[in-house]
Amino acid sequence: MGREEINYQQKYCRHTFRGKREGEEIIIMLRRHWVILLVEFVPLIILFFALLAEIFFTPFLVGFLPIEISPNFFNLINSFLFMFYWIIVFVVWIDYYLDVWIVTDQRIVNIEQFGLFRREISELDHGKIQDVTTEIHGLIPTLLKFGYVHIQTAGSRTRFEFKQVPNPVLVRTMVMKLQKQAVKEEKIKEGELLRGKIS
Amino acid sequence: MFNPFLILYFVLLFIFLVGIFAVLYHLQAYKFNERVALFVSSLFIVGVLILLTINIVIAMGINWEELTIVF
Repeated sequence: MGREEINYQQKYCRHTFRGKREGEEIIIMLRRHWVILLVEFVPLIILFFALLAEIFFTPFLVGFLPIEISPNFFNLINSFLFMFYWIIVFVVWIDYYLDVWIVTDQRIVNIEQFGLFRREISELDHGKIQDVTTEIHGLIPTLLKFGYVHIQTAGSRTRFEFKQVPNPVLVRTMVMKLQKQAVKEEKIKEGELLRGKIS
Repeated sequence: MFNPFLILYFVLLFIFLVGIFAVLYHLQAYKFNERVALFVSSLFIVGVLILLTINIVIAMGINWEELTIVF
């Protein structure tokens, strides 16, 4: 086992997730690369400066209105804008943080969060994996080492996909190791079963 | 007295409160790490308290009678 793999296991010893089996150990917990979060935050940063500019220009704009309205009323509108902005910032963060791929010693769990009110969870046993491929596409993903990991399964669902995850090559290596181990264990079990039937 | 602006104020405040509970629920119910969840929830609550206090102070300084629409 490489040094990076050992670090991964130490990193996730305090982590847990809903539906975690007893004795199940998290090996890797993957999210999209931090650059993706940064890209999602760019419009929010622009919006923040727009809100600040709006506060700055409000006293000048009030003077142009045909009716007299208390400046406090505009301050209240600004206050609401900042309140909802605060919520949106955390919704974006939740969307990123709760979108996760968990590789345990028993299975792969895919949790996808869409906003606040849609959540999809799927899982895959290591024994059902047939092939794992990685895809790093583009200049920035190549420089920052992030990309896709496609997992081909034997079941009806053809592909299981880790999207824009850091270090996809290392992830593929680890998943393949777990798959081989699971297949080996299955064969041993089958052998034991057959031996039991014969004797 | 029927004041549409005041009603709108409370409706917006209610939507904001629903948003707070939705965010906190997600942070606590689906947490992966106790420490991260605690830190982010605390940060969120501090921000909410500051913004809510400012909002209420501003709202108290408004003469709502002045803003009434006559139908």
